[in-house]
Amino acid sequence: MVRHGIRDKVAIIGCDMTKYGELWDKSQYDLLFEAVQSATKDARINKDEIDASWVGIFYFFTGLSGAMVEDILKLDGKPATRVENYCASGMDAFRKKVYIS
Amino acid sequence: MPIGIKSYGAYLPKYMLPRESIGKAWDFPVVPGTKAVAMEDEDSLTMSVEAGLDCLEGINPKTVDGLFFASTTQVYTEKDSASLIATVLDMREDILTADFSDSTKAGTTALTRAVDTIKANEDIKSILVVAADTRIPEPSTMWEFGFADGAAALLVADEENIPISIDDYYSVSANTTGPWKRADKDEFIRTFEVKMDAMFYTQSMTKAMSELLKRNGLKPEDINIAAYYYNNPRMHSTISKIMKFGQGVAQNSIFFQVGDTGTPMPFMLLIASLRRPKQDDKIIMAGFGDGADAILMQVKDKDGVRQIGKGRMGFVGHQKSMAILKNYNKFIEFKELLNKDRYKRKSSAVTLWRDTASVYKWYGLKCKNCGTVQYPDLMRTCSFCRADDQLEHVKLSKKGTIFTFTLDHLVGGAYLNTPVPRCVIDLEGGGRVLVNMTEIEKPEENVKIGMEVEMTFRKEHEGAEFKNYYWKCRPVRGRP
Repeated sequence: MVRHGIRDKVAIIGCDMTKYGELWDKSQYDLLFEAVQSATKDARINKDEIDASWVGIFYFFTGLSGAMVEDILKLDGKPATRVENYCASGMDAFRKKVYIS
Repeated sequence: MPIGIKSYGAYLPKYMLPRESIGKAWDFPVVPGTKAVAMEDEDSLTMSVEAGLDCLEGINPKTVDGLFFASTTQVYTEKDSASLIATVLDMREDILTADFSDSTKAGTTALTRAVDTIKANEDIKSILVVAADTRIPEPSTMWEFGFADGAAALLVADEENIPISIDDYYSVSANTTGPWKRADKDEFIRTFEVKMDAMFYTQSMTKAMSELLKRNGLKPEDINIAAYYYNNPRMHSTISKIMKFGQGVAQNSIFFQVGDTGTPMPFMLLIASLRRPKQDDKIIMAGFGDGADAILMQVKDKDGVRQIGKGRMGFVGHQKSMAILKNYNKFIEFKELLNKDRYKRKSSAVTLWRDTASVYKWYGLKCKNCGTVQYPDLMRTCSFCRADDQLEHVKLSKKGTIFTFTLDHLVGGAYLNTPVPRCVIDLEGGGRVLVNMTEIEKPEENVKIGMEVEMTFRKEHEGAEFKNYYWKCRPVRGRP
């Protein structure tokens, strides 16, 4: 995949991040919502225009799925995949997405 | 304006244990009657919530200016319970909360402190006083016949047309020989010599009540209702004789069926006596424990008192919906006296704090766009119309019907009272919640889709060495 390259095939159209810190008043769901909301705003798209999602979560539990994103954003019926690769979970979710699609 | 009792509420657990089964278990002489026994998911705090809910039925909790909690069975020795009870009852934050403990007279002491506080502060118009106890008797001792569980609440207020006025009180302090329970070493209550305990009880009780009558220029025959603490029926009649109360004045309706509930007992005796109030009845209520408090009250508006009784379960409503606990071993299990190794669950105090509105105060969300009520309140997107940031908090109902359920044989690894029904409840007025069911026998036969249930505040588990409370559902006991 890498040999073929992804130039002009994949583009980042929007991104953002939440505030960092000991955010006692926020859950991981709140942070996920905030990041997605500001990234879609940055991309000037509507939430409904998202066709699929990849999420990287490293959390104590097993048995979490990509459906967590669907549940928070209510993107019912859209494909969702969760990637876990320890602290590289987020980066790996991104890499999987750009090379697979 | 007169200070007095604006409302009352009570709570008795679902089960009563026949004293006969205690006698059989230990080859003791058989003693008649039953006693109220709380389940393993109940403690003084959860029972206080129930009594508080009963007391505040039809009253906006945001109008109450304080909450005093009285108990000898505090759930924490550092961390107050009053603030959590006030949170669950959905009271304001700019209120006064305090715990009263270490003596079975803590209830009457909290009540008299509430009266004084209201008298001394113009801004404080009402205080809810809740008392609860779950004293665990040492198995195979005589305490086992008496000690029972329950809670009661009185709303003290300063307002016109108060149904029952609180006119005066008198207290005595006495360092007695027992009973005691060392904070650092004892699992159970101990005593040195019961006959000496009885002497101190008689002295303090009669002294407090006689002095109160004397300074108000009253004679024993002027008293219509006497609601005083007692832990055995013989002592009850001794006090009545010494005080020279008329026939039927001294309230004794509780011990035979319910038992010695400790701190809330004087409140319960009072509440039980108010079923048929007479205008201008004079009432004396007294609590005991290293001294005594006696409180003088009067029925100012009998219709008002009757009105309170109509809107809530009170003492009798709970008593009527109790069931017999058939098995003594079940009582030992309820009290967790068998030290079984139990699976420890995870917990986060931070998450609990963050989710206070949904977990404790029982709030859900209502979508401003489509009107759908949903739970929990952790979302920012409507589950139905998918609108972002259109959700506002809404108080959920504590009644509902079972939409679906499953029976969990392994829940929490406790293997206690399994299978546990895990129910999806459609609440009245909207909202669908997933909660466990308690107070259910033979769930395989008795849990049904469409069954009506009530929400009750219970101990869920003690993960992370912390008490985790949450709502459960129970078959209807008749809460209005």
